[in-house]
Amino acid sequence: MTPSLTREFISSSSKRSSLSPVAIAYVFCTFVIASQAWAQSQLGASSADKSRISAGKLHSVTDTSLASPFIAATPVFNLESSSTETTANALIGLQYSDFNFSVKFSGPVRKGSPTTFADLDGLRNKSAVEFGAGYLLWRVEDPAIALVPACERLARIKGVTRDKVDCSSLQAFRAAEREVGRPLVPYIDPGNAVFFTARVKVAREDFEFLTSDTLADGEERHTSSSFIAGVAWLARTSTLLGFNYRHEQAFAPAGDPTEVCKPVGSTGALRCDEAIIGSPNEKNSELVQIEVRHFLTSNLAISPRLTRNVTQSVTGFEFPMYFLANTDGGLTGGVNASWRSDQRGPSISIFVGQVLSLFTK
Amino acid sequence: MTTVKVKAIGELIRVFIDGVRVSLANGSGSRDVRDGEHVISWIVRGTPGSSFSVQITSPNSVAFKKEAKLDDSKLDAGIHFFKF
Repeated sequence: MTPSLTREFISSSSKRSSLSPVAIAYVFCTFVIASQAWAQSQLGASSADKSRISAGKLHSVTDTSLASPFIAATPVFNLESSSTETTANALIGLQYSDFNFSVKFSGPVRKGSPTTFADLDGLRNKSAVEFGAGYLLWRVEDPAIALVPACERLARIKGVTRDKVDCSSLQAFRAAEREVGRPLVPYIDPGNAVFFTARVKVAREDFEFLTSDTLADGEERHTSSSFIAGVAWLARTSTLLGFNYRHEQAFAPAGDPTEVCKPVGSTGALRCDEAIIGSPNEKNSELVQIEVRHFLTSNLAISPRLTRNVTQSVTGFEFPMYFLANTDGGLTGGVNASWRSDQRGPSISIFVGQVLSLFTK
Repeated sequence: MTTVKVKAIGELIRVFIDGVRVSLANGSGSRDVRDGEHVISWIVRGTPGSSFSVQITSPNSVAFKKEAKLDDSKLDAGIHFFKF
C-alpha cells in the first residue's frame, strides 16, 4: 500500500520538484485566469455564489488517476481533498494474464459543504464500493526475432560469444551502435494496446431531513449506483485515448442545510437547528467521457478529460497538467484547470496524488 | 524438462521464452523447457521513468535479474541467453 497524504505532501513535494519553463508558464496563465474569475465573482456574486468562488482559489488536492476507470490492479491508498471535503480511497486487485479484477473502497473522512467536481461523478461524496474487471488486448511480436540476430551481430563485431554482450535493453544496443558505428537493431514495433474495462459502483447512504410540509423529522436510506464501461487505446506514439460511458442512479440531499427554528414545549422559546428540508432527490444520469493522457516529456504530462452528462445537459472539462515529481521521478501533481457548464467561471486547483501512469494493467 | 519460473513487473510487459509467451498471474509465470540453450525476451511499454524488472527466479543455476527504468521513448526490450 502506498499512502499519499495531501497537505503535508504539497509542502514537501514542492521543495523536491523540478519545474520546467512550460510548467511555470502554465501555472502563471492559470493563476491569471483564476484571479480574473475571482475578481469577476467578487464584483457581482450572491452569497451562494461566494461558496463556489473558493473552488477558484489555489487550494485543493484532487487525484485524477484514481477517478479514471482505467486504473491499475495494484494496491493503492490515497486521500483526495477539496477545501471542504476529504475522501479516502483504497484499491486492491489481482491480475491474471490479460485480465484484471479490482475492488475499490471510498468514503468521506471529512465532510463539509458539498464540492462539485468537473468529472460530474454523482457518487463522489458517498461511502462506496466499486468492483472492476478489465481485459488487455496487446498484440506484440516477440522482440527476440529482431534482437537475437542483432546480439549475434554485435558479438561477432566484438569477437566474443553472444552471451558475453549486453543485449538486455534497447539503451544497451543504442550504446553499442554508437560504439561500433553502425546500426544493429531494426525498428521494434510496440504494437497497439487496447484495454477494455467494466466497473460497478454502489453506495448506501442515510439521509436525515425535515419533511417540507410539516417539518417533522424524516430519515431515509437509499442505494446509489453507477455502471461504467470503457475502452482505452494506447497508440504506437504512446498517447492514450480513452472513452467511457457511465450510467448513474444517485440520490442527493434536497438542498443545503438551512436554519430551522421550532417552539420548545409551551414556553414560547424557540430552538434553532440546521436541517435539510425535503426528502432526498433521485437523479438518473447517462454520462460519456473522453480522456487523453500524454507525456510531453518525462517531467511534463497532460491528462485532459471531457465529460458530458447527457441527461442533465451538463458538461465538465478538466485539464490536469502534471509537473510535480516525487523522489522517484514519478509525476504526482500539478495544476488542474476545470470548468462546468452549470457554474460560473473556471476552477483552478493544485493537486497531489498517486503517480500518473500512461497505461495500467 | 525443467520448469523456468519468471517474475516480471512493469506497466505493460510481455515476456517470452524461446518465442512462446509466458502467461503472468500477478507478475509471476513459468514455462517448461528441455535441456539446452534458451532465450528469454521481453518488451515493456509505459510511463517515462517508471521501473520494470524481469527475473528468472528458478532454477538458481540460471538466476537472472534485469531492472531498469523506461526513458522518454516509453519502450524497452531485451534478451538474455541461458542454458542448462
